[in-house]
Amino acid sequence: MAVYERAYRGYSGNVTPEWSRFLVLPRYGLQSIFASRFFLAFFVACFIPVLALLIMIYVSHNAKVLQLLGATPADMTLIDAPLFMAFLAFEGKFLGFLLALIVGPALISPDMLNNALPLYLSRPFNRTEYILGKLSVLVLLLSVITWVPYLVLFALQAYMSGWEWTQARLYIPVAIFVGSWAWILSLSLISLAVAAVFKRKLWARVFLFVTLSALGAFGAILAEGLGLWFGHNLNVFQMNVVIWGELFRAPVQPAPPLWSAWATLILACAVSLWILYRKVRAYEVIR
Amino acid sequence: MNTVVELDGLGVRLAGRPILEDLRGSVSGRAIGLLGPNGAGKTTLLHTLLGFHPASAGTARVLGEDIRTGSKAIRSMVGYMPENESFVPGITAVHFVRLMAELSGLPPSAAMERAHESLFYVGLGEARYRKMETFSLGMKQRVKLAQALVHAPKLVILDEPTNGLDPPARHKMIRLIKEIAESGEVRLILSSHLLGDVEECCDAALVLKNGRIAANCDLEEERRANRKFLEIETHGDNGAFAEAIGSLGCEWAAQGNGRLKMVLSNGVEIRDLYRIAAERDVQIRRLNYKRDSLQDIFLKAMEDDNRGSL
Repeated sequence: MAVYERAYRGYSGNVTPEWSRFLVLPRYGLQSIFASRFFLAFFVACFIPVLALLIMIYVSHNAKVLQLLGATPADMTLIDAPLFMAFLAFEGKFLGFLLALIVGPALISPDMLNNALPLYLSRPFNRTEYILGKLSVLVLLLSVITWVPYLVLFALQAYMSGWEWTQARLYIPVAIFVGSWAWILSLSLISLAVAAVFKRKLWARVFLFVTLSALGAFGAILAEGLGLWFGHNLNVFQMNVVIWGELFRAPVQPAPPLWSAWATLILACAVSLWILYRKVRAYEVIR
Repeated sequence: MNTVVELDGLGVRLAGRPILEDLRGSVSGRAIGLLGPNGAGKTTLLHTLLGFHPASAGTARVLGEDIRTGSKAIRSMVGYMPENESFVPGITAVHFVRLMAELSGLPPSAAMERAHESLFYVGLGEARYRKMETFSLGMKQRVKLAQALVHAPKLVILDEPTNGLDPPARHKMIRLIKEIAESGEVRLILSSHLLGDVEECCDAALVLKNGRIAANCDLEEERRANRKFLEIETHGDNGAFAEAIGSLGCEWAAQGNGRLKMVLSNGVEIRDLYRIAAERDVQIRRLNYKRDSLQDIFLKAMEDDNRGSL
């Protein structure tokens, strides 16, 4: 229908493949998130640790710069697994968490508050695709600040240090990739689940922050005060560090068994998914 | 005319409570009105047809697709305008409608084009770059209509589209709905508790009562039948007049005080009545087409416990 005719007209053009339709949500989601200058500034700030590590890698391999700085290679921090892990932990545990805190509730809470779900789900688009679409926004953003740049930095370090160094440390890229994905998935699902429960973004953020912090503190009391090793399992941040420690071959102390750390994250993901499937419905049946 | 919805013993239970029970029948027409008092199960029926609630018994088919097996296929053929205020906040109306079009499978460029067109169509062309939070209730209703139409569905389901609208906004909405129905390119199901809305727009009606079908009627047929149904008030010897009318093949019944009810037979026109009356020196003082209005149908359905027929 041409605009000037203003009459109803059918559509007989092409349609997109069904499998690709969940990708519409991240496109719109990212567009609306990056419309905020505050978020843009924060997102740029998330690359400061990456830039710092990049500079460290460059300087440690550049004799002229070292000479200018009056330092020797021995003065430089050793570029190795513990350093990658420290940077990645800061990026994921602190900046990644803040990012999930800002973005996660903004993805689902407004849809719940404004009854948008019947509009989405009355189309050839189901709950799984909705959750996958929203999840992919967080996964994409968290990937861009965690495993993607750190794998690039590892490649740079490997290029500068030679094959022998690289061969002995092939576990590092695996650790960066697997560790990041474990954290990204669990953090994203938890924040989306909380957002689905609370219809207000602010309440969702407050609850997420307070609950994860309080659980961590309570877990520490159980573990340190009462000697119950599983106390640490209440702290998802700590569980992730345990997994990273094993993956980077730099175990942390005190550490509950590795299997329990994986079990905690898997359980957190499963419960979050269950909540999401309970809450993401066109209409809630009131009993 | 092709069947839009076929109900085959459909039953729905929510939270253990039966909401719809043993719905049977088929509905066809360009625009179908879904009527019933509050709590009759209108919205639950629509939600079940869209796959929001599972059927606990029986099944239904929408445009030939079974709700149990072809839910996604149904939703790709249907545009839905929900009853409650629903929108995606933070984006402009045109982006919202475009998003909905893309979710229905339109490529981005086609979705954008049709989003603009749909918003012009519903009369929001000038407001399409405004965020939806800033819209009045009437405007939000029209955006919901635009998103239901944007992907060119075969069937549009409108759940209480005139809810909360002031008279001018209601008039605009009804005009739009009539236009869509008359375009012939799309079928409509209009759920409303306002009989006037359904009477103006629809050519068939399904009346629900306590989760059961109280009436399923073809309004076009009713209107055609009513066209020949007359109520006459006479002064004079109406016995001779009535007999003369009867001799022309018309059915009649005397109601006392000079009033007659009659169904004109084919070929008998109003002017024949005046001619016969004049020949017998009978005055026709009042002549009405007695219309069995939708209100009568609805009220009868509400009184009548026999399901499926009037």
